[in-house]
Amino acid sequence: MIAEIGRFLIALALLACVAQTILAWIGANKGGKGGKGAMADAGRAASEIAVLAGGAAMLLLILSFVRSDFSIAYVAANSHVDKPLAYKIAGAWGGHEGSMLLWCWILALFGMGLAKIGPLNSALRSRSVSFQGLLQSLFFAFLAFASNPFERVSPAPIQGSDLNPILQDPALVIHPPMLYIGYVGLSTAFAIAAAGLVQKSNGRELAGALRPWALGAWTSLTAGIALGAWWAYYELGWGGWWFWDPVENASFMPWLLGAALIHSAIATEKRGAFPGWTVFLALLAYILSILGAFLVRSGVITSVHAFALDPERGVWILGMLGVSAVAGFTLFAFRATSLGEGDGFEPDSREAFIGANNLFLAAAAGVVLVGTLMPLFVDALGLPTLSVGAPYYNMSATPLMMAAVILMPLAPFLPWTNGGAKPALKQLGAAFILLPVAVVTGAFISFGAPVLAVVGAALGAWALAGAVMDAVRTLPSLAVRSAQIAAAGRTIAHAGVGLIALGAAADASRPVDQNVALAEGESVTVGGYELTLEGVRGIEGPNYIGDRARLLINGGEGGVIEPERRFYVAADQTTREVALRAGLAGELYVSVGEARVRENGVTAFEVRGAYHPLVWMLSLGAIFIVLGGLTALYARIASGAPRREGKAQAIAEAAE
Amino acid sequence: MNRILMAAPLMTIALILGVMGYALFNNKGGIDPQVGQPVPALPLRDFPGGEGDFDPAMVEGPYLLNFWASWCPPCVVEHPLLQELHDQGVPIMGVVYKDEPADANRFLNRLGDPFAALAADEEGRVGFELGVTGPPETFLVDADGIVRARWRGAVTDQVWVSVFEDEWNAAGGAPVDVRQLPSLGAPASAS
Repeated sequence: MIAEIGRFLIALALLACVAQTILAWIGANKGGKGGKGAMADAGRAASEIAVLAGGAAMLLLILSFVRSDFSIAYVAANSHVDKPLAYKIAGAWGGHEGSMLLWCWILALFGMGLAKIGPLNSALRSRSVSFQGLLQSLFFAFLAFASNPFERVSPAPIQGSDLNPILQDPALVIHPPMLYIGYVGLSTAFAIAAAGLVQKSNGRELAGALRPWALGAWTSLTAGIALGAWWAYYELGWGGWWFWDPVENASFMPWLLGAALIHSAIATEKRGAFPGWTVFLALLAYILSILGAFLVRSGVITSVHAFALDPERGVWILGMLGVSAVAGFTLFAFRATSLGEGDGFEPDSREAFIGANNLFLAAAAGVVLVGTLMPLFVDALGLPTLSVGAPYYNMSATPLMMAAVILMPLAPFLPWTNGGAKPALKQLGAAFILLPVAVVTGAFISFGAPVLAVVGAALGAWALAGAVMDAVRTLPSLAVRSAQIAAAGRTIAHAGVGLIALGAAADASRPVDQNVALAEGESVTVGGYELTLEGVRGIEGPNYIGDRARLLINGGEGGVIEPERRFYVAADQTTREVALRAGLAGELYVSVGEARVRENGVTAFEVRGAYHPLVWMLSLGAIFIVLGGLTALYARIASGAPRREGKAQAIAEAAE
Repeated sequence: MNRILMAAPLMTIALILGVMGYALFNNKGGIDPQVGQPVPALPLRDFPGGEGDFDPAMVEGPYLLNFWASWCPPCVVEHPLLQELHDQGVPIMGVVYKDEPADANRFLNRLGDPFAALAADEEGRVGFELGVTGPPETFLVDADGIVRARWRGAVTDQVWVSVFEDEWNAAGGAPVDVRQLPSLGAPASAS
């Protein structure tokens, strides 16, 4: 019965979304007082129904997981009676259909959010609720017609299969929701931008209206990506945290564009600079989010953490991508000129630096997009199969991001519009003195390391120093409290960028992983530690069997380290449980792989060992960026700036 | 000029959509991770009552590695085909997967023994090394000990033609007359 109710709720939510689209659109059209009538109110009510129905469906799905109702195909495929409760619940969004339901529900939540606290211009608000309703309708239709999480299966398996075991991990319980709030949150920026184009809104107003939404979404996306990278580091057992895998790229492109957007929107809102560019970014960031969903879920690109192959889903997502992109960019092609050319600024003004930084970030997103899609292009042209790997991205995207980091610490010191680099440079003097120190330090910690690592370390120190100078010099000089909080958010986030640059540079400087076959008693040296394989024994867990290797550490504090290799029987999947030994200077990382018989008959085990210096800086940097984003968002809400502007707008409208 | 610039995103996204649509409809699918890899060290146990105990290092030329059990219905389905392959000179190494030796022997006595050699895997440890989900599962291993093909589920004549035949011939295996194979219809399981 639950499955049938769930199915009904999804259909109800779909209808509510369609109603929301139509009613809010009509509501926005109503004469001079657009967005204030009964129709607009009805649109808002529809958005609430969609949230309630979608949320109830999500709860029913979770309930089905808790009750292990394996007559539902999705539950049977992603759960098992022996699974711990937390992972049963997480299974509700651990596979394609359930994660799509979560995606839809978050979309609807944002639709309701727009209707309640969206743009203050009521016509713009109603129009953006309508566009959001269109995006919701597309995804709920996909759910209802091609990805029903409540589909029955007959005969029902008794024990279920299992959630993919590599996904049975605390980080992965919250990683998808964070990521989806990020991806899906960018839809609000899309909806507001598209609505603004229809309304022929003023560029500054539009930028002000979409910025807090983009900021919140981007902050959540940052947290989601960071959790994913952390998980990849200790769960996948490949000895790294970022692999330029298509699925990672799928989340990284919207992140880069979102980073560009939250900065360009400031320049557009405050100084009227490049309104067209800001609107373009707002549209593109969400389009790339759906493009990411397509890459991950259609199976066109082979990736380790792709969902199961299913061409029918691919057709749907491609259709949704097509409708959203064509609608957004057709509007842009015809209406972007109405946003105006934008106000001018001097080359040494803050706008100029934000703009240049935007170009670097967008170009980085562009080369990542090219790299991700290149195998598809090459295949479509009938050329031999090609795979694009880390060397390509390190040669293209990394230098672009480095260029962005060079400019980042300077911009906060530059005055708006008329510019004036001299006082800024004076204020940054101390940081400039730090720069040679940073280069020397960078060269020292990455002795014999690639140029990229040395440059990265210096840039990290530069960004960190710049953020500290920013906090010391600009914060006390600001009179308004909300401006101080906003600036604090900026300095925290920029310091986070510096920490990540340092951590990434340290990681790039480390010697390559040792990947060797060890028989019992044999040793390998990793980053000053000598690891000796004492033995490997079979182990048996609740839902897996496996091998546990025991290696003696010679060096540092000594001790033993015990990586495992597991085979989850029900899920048919082998995983590597990495063993880590953390310290302030770095982290020892050991995983164990398959056994091979040597020619002399001795059995040797594949052992992968690595030493990751300063890897904690990456986590700390990500935490800083998220905190910075939250602080800036809080400043925005506390200041009530859009509210005042909205009032002014309302007065202006009344005066006309 | 500005108009053209403003339409550029639309053009670009149209191109990307086209390529992705092409990729979607010409998808070749994933590749099995075991294929192309050497067979790992297998903790094989002697099969009680088996005639020849099997050691992968002793086999010359390509062979099939077949996981089976008496409790497994699809294993009964594929049995006539394995028997025919055996009769045509294909060496098949059988791994008795999570089964009682007495039951397995009864199975062979009743249906015939297509296996050149047998080994036991009572706890599924051998299957663990190769990522076996459950019987039946068949690997084609070449003379160098590299896995050339793999099939999950019953091997039927159609599976032999689509999955194994080309690899078998490429690995230099004894010629197999496909027309002699019993017709078992469509594959019972997708890999």
